[in-house]
Amino acid sequence: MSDTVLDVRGLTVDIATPDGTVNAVRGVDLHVGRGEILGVVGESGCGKSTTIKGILGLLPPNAEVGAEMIELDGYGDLLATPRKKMREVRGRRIGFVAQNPFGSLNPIYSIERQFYELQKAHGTKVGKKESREIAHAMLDGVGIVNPARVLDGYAHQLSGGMAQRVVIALATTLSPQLLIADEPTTGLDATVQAQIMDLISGLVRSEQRSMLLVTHDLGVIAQYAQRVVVMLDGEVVEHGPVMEVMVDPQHEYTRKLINSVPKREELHDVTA
Amino acid sequence: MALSTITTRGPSRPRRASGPLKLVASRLLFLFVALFGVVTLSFLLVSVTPGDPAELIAGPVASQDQIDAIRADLGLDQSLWQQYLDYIGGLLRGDLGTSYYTNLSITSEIGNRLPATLILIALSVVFAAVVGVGVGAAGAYFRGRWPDKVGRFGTSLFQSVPDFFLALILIYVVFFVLGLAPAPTGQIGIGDVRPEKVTGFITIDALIAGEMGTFWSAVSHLFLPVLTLGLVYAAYFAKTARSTVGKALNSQQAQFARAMGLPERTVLRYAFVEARGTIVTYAGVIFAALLGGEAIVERIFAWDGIGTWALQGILRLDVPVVQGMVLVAGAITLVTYTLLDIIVGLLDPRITHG
Repeated sequence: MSDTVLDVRGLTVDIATPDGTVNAVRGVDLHVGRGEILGVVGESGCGKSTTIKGILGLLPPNAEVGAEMIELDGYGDLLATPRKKMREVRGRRIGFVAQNPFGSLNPIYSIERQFYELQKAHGTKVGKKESREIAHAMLDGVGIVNPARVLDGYAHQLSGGMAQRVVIALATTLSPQLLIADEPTTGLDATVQAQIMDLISGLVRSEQRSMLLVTHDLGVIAQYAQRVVVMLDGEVVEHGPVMEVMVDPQHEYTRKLINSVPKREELHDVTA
Repeated sequence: MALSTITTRGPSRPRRASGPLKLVASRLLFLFVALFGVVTLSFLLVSVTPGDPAELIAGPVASQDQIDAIRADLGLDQSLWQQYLDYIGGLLRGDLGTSYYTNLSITSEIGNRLPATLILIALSVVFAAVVGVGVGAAGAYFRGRWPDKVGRFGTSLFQSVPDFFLALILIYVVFFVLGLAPAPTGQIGIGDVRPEKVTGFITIDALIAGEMGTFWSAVSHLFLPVLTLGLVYAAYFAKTARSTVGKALNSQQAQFARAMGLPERTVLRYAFVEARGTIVTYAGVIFAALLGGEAIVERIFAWDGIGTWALQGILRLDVPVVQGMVLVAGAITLVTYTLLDIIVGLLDPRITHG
């Protein structure tokens, strides 16, 4: 076992559109260490989401993914993995948490059924009853007070925070070593945001997992990530330990990004 | 957390236990009220129809006495209120009056013709739904690739061809040129003997009577009319399925399902489950619209269904026939929509019924 869980080098994504090819991601290098949270920050459209979809093999057929390597520890090169095999990596080796939990969960099936579908998809030979027990324990683990009731219910009956907890429970059911979170708190209430972030980072730390945390929120990065990668126009413009990058940004764009966060004095000006 | 609590369910489980019963009860109450409205409307049809039915029946050379006699016979000389009560009374006894022209009882005419139309449109809707949803879903899944292109070409083709024209082409090609289907002589061939009426559905009655020859003849005579209506309406299903399944396949939900490693067939099933409410609704609406709406196709295939009968009644201003048709079409439409409400409500947990 190496100390690097995910090692991506020279990742490119070219998307064919009717108006020509768009180079959405242009040579991104990043690596996530064991037990580490790597923050990926940048404005919308900078290629953050495309990068993680490229790693997961979730891009549409008109997108072409290239790289020197996408190495997942204990598995091998993801780039050389055929599309069908990638399905076994997703969910089992890499967990995924997206923004807007209501969009993620199936609206028609009960929560219990969605846990069972996950088990069935990965051929874990877990029966319905056992799947329910596992799901119950998972929901309990993400701080849901009445798991049995949630399991019998449907996504629309949950609050935003509860729904995201269910999503996190689903994403970690098969104990993936790496968690990819794409704006996991966007759209949630501010108080719930902190709870969800505490939950995810706690899950990562307690199990010595790793996480790729994609967000546009520098505050979240500063609080939870150990290292950060700053992206602009499909390229990495700066990377390093969070404290170094925050205190002494090298790139002009990073400086602007940090300055765009409202300061305490300015907030006082607004309220006064 | 103690293991024993795992299977205990919370005190207030989400709805579903009493939900369906409440839903069915409230819909049935609504159905009853609406049916009463349809009955009243079909009755008022007589009084709003221009012209005097008695004069129409008596013909141009009748004397005033003869007209008055007919009027009295029909009860038209009584107050509207009395006529209404008589109409409701007759309805409760299953008496819808007689045709002005043939003097046949409307109730028995409907009983004889409705099964022919029901089997035709039911099979057509099933055919259209299966073919249309298959083509539409394939198009949504392979968007922009060849299955989508072929499907869209077929969809536009059959959507732009009127059903009566398609019927003529199919009769020419499949019957006349290829000889694969029997002549358009109605539900059975000219030489076939109609089996004794039990259910009114010729196929079923033939099976009951054990006349397999008649049964296969009836099945083969269904082929072309069902194909005609089925192809035309499959195009509508394909269009709806392509957009609803396509939307579900592009949703964040499908993306999350893939990110969890669910196989493509499960992702497709998720998309279907999300789209099925819309598709079922569509099937119900088309079924109701076809009732009477397929009269012209019935006519072409000499199908002695309720559509041809109603069309003739309208052309001859045969008010009791039109009344009977309005009543039957209205009642079946209402029952269909009520069933739809119940089915769609049961299919989607997000729909709650207060």
